[in-house]
Amino acid sequence: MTYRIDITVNGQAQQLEVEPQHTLLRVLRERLGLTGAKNACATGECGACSVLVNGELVTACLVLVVECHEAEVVTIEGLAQTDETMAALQQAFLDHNGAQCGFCTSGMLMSAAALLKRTSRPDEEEIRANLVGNLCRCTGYADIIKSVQVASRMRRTEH
Amino acid sequence: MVARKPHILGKPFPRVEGQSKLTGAFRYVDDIGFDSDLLHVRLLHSPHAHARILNIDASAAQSLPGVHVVITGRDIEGRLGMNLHDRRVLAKDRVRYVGEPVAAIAAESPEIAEHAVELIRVEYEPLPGVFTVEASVADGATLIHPELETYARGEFVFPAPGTNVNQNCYFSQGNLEKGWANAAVVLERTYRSPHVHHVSMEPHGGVAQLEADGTVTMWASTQAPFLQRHLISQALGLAPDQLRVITWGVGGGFGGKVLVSIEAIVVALALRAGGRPVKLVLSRSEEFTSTFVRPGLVARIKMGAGADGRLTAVEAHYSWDCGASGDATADIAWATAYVGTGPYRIPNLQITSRSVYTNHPPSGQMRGNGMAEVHWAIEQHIDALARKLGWDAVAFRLHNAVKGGDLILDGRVMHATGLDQCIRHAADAIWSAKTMGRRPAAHKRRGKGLAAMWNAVILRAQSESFASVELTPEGVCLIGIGGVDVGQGVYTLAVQLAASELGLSPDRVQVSPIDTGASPQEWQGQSSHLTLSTGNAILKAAHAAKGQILEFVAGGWNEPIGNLDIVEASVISYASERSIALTALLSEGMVMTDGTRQRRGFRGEGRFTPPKATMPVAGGQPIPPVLHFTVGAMATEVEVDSETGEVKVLRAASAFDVGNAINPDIVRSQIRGGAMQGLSVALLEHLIYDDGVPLNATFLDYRLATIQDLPQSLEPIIVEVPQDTGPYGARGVGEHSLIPAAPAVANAVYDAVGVRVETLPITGERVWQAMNVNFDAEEREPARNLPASTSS
Repeated sequence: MTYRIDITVNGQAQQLEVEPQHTLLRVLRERLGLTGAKNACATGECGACSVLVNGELVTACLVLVVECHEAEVVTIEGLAQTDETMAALQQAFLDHNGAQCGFCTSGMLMSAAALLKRTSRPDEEEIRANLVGNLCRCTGYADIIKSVQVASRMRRTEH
Repeated sequence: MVARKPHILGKPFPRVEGQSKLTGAFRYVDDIGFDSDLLHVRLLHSPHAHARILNIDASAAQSLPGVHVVITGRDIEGRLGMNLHDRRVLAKDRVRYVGEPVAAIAAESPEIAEHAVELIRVEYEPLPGVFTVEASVADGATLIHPELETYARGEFVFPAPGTNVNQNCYFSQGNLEKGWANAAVVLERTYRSPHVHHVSMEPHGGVAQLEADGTVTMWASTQAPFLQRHLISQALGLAPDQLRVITWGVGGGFGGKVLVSIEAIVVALALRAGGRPVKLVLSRSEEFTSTFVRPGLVARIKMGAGADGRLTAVEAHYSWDCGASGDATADIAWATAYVGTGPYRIPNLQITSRSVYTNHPPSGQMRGNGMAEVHWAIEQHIDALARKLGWDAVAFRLHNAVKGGDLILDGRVMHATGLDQCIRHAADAIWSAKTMGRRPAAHKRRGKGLAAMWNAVILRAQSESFASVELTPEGVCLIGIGGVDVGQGVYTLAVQLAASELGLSPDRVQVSPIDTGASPQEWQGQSSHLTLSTGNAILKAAHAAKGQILEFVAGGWNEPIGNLDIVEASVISYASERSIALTALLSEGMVMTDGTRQRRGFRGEGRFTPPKATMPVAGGQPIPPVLHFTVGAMATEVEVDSETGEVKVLRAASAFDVGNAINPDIVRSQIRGGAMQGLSVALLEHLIYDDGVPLNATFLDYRLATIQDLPQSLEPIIVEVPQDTGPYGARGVGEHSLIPAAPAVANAVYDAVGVRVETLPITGERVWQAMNVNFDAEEREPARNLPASTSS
């Protein structure tokens, strides 16, 4: 049995027929071709699938797509094009080696963007507390913290 | 002879594939789009650690609508293996670990495949399980591979028939008895290191498809596409060029994606799927249970030192728990028999290094190829020996550290090395640092510790690197290599080297995707050798291409080639001061002496071949060819809660001699990443088994370092003593930064609370027990005599 939902993804409103047991992550990746969010654990423990639903950061692997009826979903692909905060983060990650293999990066950037939208100049303690849900095996996190700090300063000087 | 560092090297230079990783566009295997004819794979796993397979009835699964292919071990004759062919693609006749794949289903949807797996009926006859090294080598132990003698194996693999011992290596030098006799102090202990997991963020996965011409194309997440092609064809009885492996992005490897894991299953299914693509990506729990694990180690170490502080003798016995397969430990045991001493001058030496089967998952090499586990033992032991002798542990290491010109490994000469610089820089960074934060509460004890390391790049006879550098008429430089970038920056290195050698702007230089059908051969992306091996091949290829360009222009200008050079993307003549931009040369050609305009592309090829194994002077097993040693040291400051035993790393400093940092930012990133992974393994990580049943196969229960576990300060330090065989004097560093972390923490814990934790990881429970329950009276210093922080 399928359900019809109205969902806006990266600003584009659409209607989808979905299975009730399918996760938002699966639909984003397989139906909509938005493969930026990754499936690394399927149990909400690693953060690689982080997206925004109605402005709130969630692990898409634990959200049923039917819960997103009439919701606005934003993925890394959405922010990558147009969002100033994300642009600052991307430049900072590039300049300061915030990504190595890149698999955790989409989720890490989403978490960092969500943080910077709430707190314009977080200190290191706040950065750590807000990114603790994103596992990274390659960088050892130091370059990520530096990148987020640089990005937050970049944004401030723009305003 | 080390060339001058050209302008583009030694400076910050962003990763070439960096942009797409930041927009979600970079594609890994699971992201590659296929049409709706894609078939989905699920596996049936063994619930038993050790059992005979009596019967498999897959008929109900086969007849489930939507199921296209069902295979079991019965369908595949061959064995998998590189050094020792002791694995099956799917279990045949016997299962040897919980999680071993027994059957595979390809179906229209994941749900149908999962349902079909549940319908397969397997009859098992459980066998006694073997779960420790001691049990495995005991008299009368159950044999896990009764046909061990019949397995094909490499020249340097020495199993003991009729036992679970699948590799047995040794090396000796000098006279041990004399060494003990000359020692003022002798110390003997046993150290243990458990199975841990690589935990790449991207799981293993592959998609395979039978093409119309009978070849199979596989897209796989692998560090070694050429090796995978070779091993899978061998196991499945395919002709060498019948399988083509393509690698896009790989989300981490750390050694766990070198040998063949589930990739052979995907190919086997594709051969039977009538041309439809077949996809398998493992779940996280399958990653923990059904892929490679780092081998366990029991290390018995005995060391002696004279009153003058010099080591007189080292005796080390390494027993590797290789789980169900000794393919990787065949190599690890061989390598560690020779370099498993730590970076010291030792006149009298004996090492044995053997690999034994247990009913745990198959072991695979993990960052360091056995040297992290070895240094866990060696570097704690050196520390303990120094203290027993009454020496400062750092000074003791400096006193015994190997130096350039020393004779090692039965007569070889050690190359120039910055080991003492690494030790001093790491120690200075930690010992001279100001106290962090407010003075800690009385029950929190602080301590400082250091560990040194060395690791050899050991290349095997078949390991060669090939590269091509091509300049296209469009003015683009295309680099062809076979070495996969798993995040360590090898593509960026390739671009830097080629751009530098050819005087090109790096934005005109690209690495072609790795495709065994088109890319030059590369043995494996492991052993931290790509910088040296592939790097050298690229330099040769670029040099060859440059020679072709200069020859062409010399012909056109009618000048001797010696007048010409490429500077800032133009060919110039120092004599006539003519110049022509490379882009113009490539797109328009040039007018030759006969008046005709000629245009051509240029393609250079390069090859790096390692030296061969040599026979030791005293006889015995061949010694592997060691290209060079990367050395380093890590120092840490820890705070131990003496009431709970919990250890917190306050700060760390890691110094490595990389010869020449071609891209210093990437080198520092590798040092930071490896150090943090090392700290995670030191304090948090172990795969826990109960009679072979995995207890912590999820991220919740297998604790992995989060951003909160990063110390307040983790300082990477680059030391450069050039390597004469490396590209511009460079050595690799990718693995090495992990190696000294665990013993550096253990030595700091000892400094803080006077106890030594001999079994990894250094959990609070173990520290507490060592302090309160199981202390070694001979070595224990009463905790109350230790100040809150120490200095040396």
